[in-house]
Amino acid sequence: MLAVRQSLKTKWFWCAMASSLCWTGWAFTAKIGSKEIPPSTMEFISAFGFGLVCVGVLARKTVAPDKSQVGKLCATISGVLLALGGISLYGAYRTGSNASMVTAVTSLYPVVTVLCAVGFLRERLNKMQVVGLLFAVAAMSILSL
Amino acid sequence: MLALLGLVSWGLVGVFQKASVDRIGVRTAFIWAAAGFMMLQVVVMPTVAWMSYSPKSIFCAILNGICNGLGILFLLAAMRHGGKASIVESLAALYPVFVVMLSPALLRERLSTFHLAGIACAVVAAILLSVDSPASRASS
Repeated sequence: MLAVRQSLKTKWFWCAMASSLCWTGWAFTAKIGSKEIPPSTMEFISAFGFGLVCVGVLARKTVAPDKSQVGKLCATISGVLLALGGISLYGAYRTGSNASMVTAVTSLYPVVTVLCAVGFLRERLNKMQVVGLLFAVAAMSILSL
Repeated sequence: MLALLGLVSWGLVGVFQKASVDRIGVRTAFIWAAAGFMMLQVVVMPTVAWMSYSPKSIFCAILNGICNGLGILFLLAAMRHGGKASIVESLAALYPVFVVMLSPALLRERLSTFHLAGIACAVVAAILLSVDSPASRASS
């Protein structure tokens, strides 16, 4: 319990929770908006909202420019992959695949992240976190069906 | 096949995000990620006049993008502040819990026992994932 309390005092935990809450808003707006707008058009229009956040970030960016080209390349690739994931998902829905199955499969993406993070970034997880991941996979599978 | 491509793509996003914020600041990483994201939008460019949709739906779609952008911004900040890609991504991916919990109030949907089981699993997962022992913290 002490370790949990310590994590609750960290910035990364609350940033992750804030991220989760933002995606809650994302899920609700997707559900309401897609009643009328087709998914791919939804993705396109939502890019304008994404752009607005970008403008906000650019307006507040006063720190010295980062010089790492590798960092910028990794960030760009992450953006491309993010869009590619979304487009693939919409493509999978459009091809007539079972929507529940598609949602369930794609909701398990953190498993790929964990495997790659352990393999490429050399991250190590303790036993509790491994069990936590199993619960997370179960929760994502249940809630996506 | 497309679903698997989506799974792998989104799975790799976290790894590249972490690799980027280890080298550059959150805001710079976000701008470059946004540039990458925008590059592929031409693929989904609608062939119909999208302004023909109702203002409410268009507002929802734009709000959808704002939420997505802010979600990524917070995710990058979590990783920049020492969160591991594997843990941060898994915690953030538990957002369906909030969706299910808020659905009765916002969408007038009813919670099933199945949903409650999912919520319980997610709460346990969040608690266990946040147990960051000094040993595993040192390795990140």
